[in-house]
Amino acid sequence: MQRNPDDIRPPRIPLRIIKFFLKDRYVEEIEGDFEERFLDNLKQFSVANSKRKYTWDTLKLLLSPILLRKIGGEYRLNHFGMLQNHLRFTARLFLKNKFYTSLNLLGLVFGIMCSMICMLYLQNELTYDLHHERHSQIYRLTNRIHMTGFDINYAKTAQELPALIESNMPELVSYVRFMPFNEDDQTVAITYRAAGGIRKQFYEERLMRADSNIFNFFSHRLIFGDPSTCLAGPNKMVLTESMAIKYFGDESALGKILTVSSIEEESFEVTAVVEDLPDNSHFKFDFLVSNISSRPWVPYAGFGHTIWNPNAYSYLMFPQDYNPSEFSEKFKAVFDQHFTATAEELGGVYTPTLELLADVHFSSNTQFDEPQGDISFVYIFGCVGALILLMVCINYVNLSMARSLTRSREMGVRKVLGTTRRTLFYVMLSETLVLVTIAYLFAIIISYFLIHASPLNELIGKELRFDLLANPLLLYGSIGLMITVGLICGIYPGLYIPSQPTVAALKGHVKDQKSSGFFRKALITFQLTVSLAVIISTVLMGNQLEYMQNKNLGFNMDNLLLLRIPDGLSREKLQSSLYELQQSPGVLAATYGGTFPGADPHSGVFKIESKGEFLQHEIKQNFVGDRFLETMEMKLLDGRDFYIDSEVDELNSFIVNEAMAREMGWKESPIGKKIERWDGKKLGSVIGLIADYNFSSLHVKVEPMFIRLFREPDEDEPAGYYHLRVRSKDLTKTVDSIEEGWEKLFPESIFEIEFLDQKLNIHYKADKQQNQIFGALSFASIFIALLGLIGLSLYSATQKTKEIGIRKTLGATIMDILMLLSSNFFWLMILSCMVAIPLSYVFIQEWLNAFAYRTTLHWWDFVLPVGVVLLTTLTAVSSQSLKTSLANPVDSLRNE
Amino acid sequence: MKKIRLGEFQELILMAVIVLQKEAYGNEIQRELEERLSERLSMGAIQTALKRMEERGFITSEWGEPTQKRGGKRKRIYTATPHAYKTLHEIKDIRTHLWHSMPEIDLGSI
Repeated sequence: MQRNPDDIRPPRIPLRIIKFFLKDRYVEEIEGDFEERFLDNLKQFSVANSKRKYTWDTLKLLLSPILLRKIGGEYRLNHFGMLQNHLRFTARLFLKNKFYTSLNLLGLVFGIMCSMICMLYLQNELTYDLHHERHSQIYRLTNRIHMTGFDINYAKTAQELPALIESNMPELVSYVRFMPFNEDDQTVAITYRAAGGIRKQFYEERLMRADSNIFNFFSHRLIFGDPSTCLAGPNKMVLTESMAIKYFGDESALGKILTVSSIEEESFEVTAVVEDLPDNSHFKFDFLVSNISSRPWVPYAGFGHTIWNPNAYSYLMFPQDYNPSEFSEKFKAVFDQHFTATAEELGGVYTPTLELLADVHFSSNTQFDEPQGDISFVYIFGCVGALILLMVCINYVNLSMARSLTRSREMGVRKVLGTTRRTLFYVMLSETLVLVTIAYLFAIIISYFLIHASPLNELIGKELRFDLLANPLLLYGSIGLMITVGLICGIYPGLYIPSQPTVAALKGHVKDQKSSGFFRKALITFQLTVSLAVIISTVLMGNQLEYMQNKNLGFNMDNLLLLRIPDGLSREKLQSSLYELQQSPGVLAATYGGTFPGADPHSGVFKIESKGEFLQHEIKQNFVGDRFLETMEMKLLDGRDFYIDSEVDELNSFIVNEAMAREMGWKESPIGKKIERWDGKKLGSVIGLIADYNFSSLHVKVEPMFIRLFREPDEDEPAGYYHLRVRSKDLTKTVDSIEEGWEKLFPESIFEIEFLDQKLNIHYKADKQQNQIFGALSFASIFIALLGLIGLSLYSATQKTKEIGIRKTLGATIMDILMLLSSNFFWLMILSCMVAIPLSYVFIQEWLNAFAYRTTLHWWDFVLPVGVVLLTTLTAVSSQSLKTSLANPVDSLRNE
Repeated sequence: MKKIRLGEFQELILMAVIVLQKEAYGNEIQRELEERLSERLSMGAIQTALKRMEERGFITSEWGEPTQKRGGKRKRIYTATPHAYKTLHEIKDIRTHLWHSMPEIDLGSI
């Protein structure tokens, strides 16, 4: 990634700043001097350093007052002098009404902060993969494979396909493939043996094989190493910066050897270090290795079969302005030439799709894929940002109107002294703009700390950075935001308040206009409705999360420890190690399984006996060890468990779940039903029936599955996990003794113990995140609504000052007056409840649809949050009213 | 001294302007002085001094030729006025007088 030195320009933002502040006649000279210096610096220093020097030097100019414009304008027009006067007046006004000012400021700071964060989030989500220079030409090839028994949209395609496409479609520029290091995306152990016997070993997940032209294809920046040769040749490795630090610390990574132990050990030489991938790239890796070679495992003979076995993520680059529909037409010819025979044989239908790189994040709908973005989240964040900002503006306008009584008199005086309506409008507007600017500065500081020093990023699962100077969109966007808010907030009061008849204003007879009163009430009701709906939804989402946490999954997930079985164990070692682990004090029962509940089991295609014939089905299967049902505490409904320590049941006996029995239509007992391999080879029969257990997440119904016994690890596949049921008491001690035993058994392997209940929670991370975001939102909305309510009650209290005075002299109690002032709000609240409850009900029903197992909704789940909100708002409202009602009637009535 | 009104820093800059002749523009002045004083100066300070001296008639300035390196922006070339020469001489004379009036100091003992 070399850059042409002529393209390096000095940063533009500081330039704009000095251009604004410098006297016009000096600009050209000084700007030229700086630019010249910048170019000189480039020869000596790095680009970043020169830029920093440039910025710093230019900004230091602002300390030389003689070079700057005079604040009142160079030619001291009366206009500017007047503006100075306004500013002084504004400052006094703010200081005079501290409560009112801080209320307004609080709302504005909060609103601007929220929308800035939303803006950052949206920027991050909407610029996925756009950092690749040629992203408009790159497509990901995905495919849908449809056969009897299954129909899957694979993100991966056959690794042979891109080369075949290249030879048949000359317009293809180039292609790049990524392949998980081993077939099953399993984690692998990577070891670094430094000189002096120091050994570092970690389990890694994102290790990929890749084509050597990847760095000419995608725009990843290399820190060390040559982009075009680093992956050429066998056993080369490229790793990210953070991985280089993890393994090598301060040492140079180039030339070091890392050993990957999966099924067998392989060593790789580090030839390049790549910058950590941006958070917003859909495809992530930590390590890339060369040798994307032939398939290690070819289940079918012949080239024609390859296409049905997708195993590599393929990216194709086409010329600019390529029409993807051209591809599908041409592909048909390629397919017909090579794959028709196997398609007929397997009864398969194959449909390829080209996904534009930038679209992969949101619009891809494939399985076996990297995590996807959710466009609905983008909408939610966009709406929330806009909504919060709107509510804040509403509040500001409301509060300004509440203050109009006092301001009207001032406006009256100004008008008598000859100020025009137009000038008064500018006076009001500039007040607002000043306040908004102050709020903006506060909001910047708070957002910075929220993003960099709070768990916010973790909450939304992002790596956002608040970098105002390096992110022009954020800078200009937020300034634009500030100005918009200033205008929205400033225009209406600026028009309304000076428009009061002068004489009436001077006498203090400003009357509320009926129409604007209705408008204000509508705005407040809207705010209340939104906050109520959000709060109710938060509570209900929390209920569902709690339900999932406590649901009986069909096995006991507490106190179950998982340990990865080291790769390449022999039959004897697997059995003896299990026995050893079982002997550790504190371990109640032990077994092993190919996968653990919560991780999706693999599926296979089988022919299964149903109503006298054999039908092809795709069924999930889990391979387990002895005493599996006992250790997991699962319920056997019919038939028998596997025999312990016997080879009779190995691989050929099946224990099925209820869902499978239902799916196959086995009316009476399933025991004895025959199962064959996809190619018709005899396997065995069903020996037991277990109650359904949730082996995947609660988002999906329990699918048909069976478990099979294995006593010998498959050579080509990772063996799985030991499952240890332990005593709940003295857990640390138990873990310690297990570790001790482990060290003796497998001195070379990593001891990484995991708790099943924690692993299961991974499925609900997204739901939990949503709930937390809603929690934050409900806090935000209620906060803003409260600000609004206080403003409105302040308004109506000031409006009715005189009425209250008269009532009090005539004998009304404070309670009477409180009722009078609050009853209005009470009805508004009832109205918003009536809208908010059905609204949140509909929303939460929709949300719950994503779960196969749902909590039941109770009426009190709705009433409780509503009650709390009503109570809080009424308290806020009456605190304002109380102040007015306690006032001495003499003061309020004298006001003539 | 009062009528002269030339600060020490301004004096240095003025002399640099004279030394540099046709090359006396902001950057070059700064470079020259930084080299001679061996310390970093800020552009703001130099520009302030130049503008102030220009106001007081010590120097005049005119636009120079634009160059590619400056992104097409023109230089501003400063020249000292006869008044400046006179003032510099006055300062120097005053200093020389003072030097002559100072008693001999044995620098070795300090």
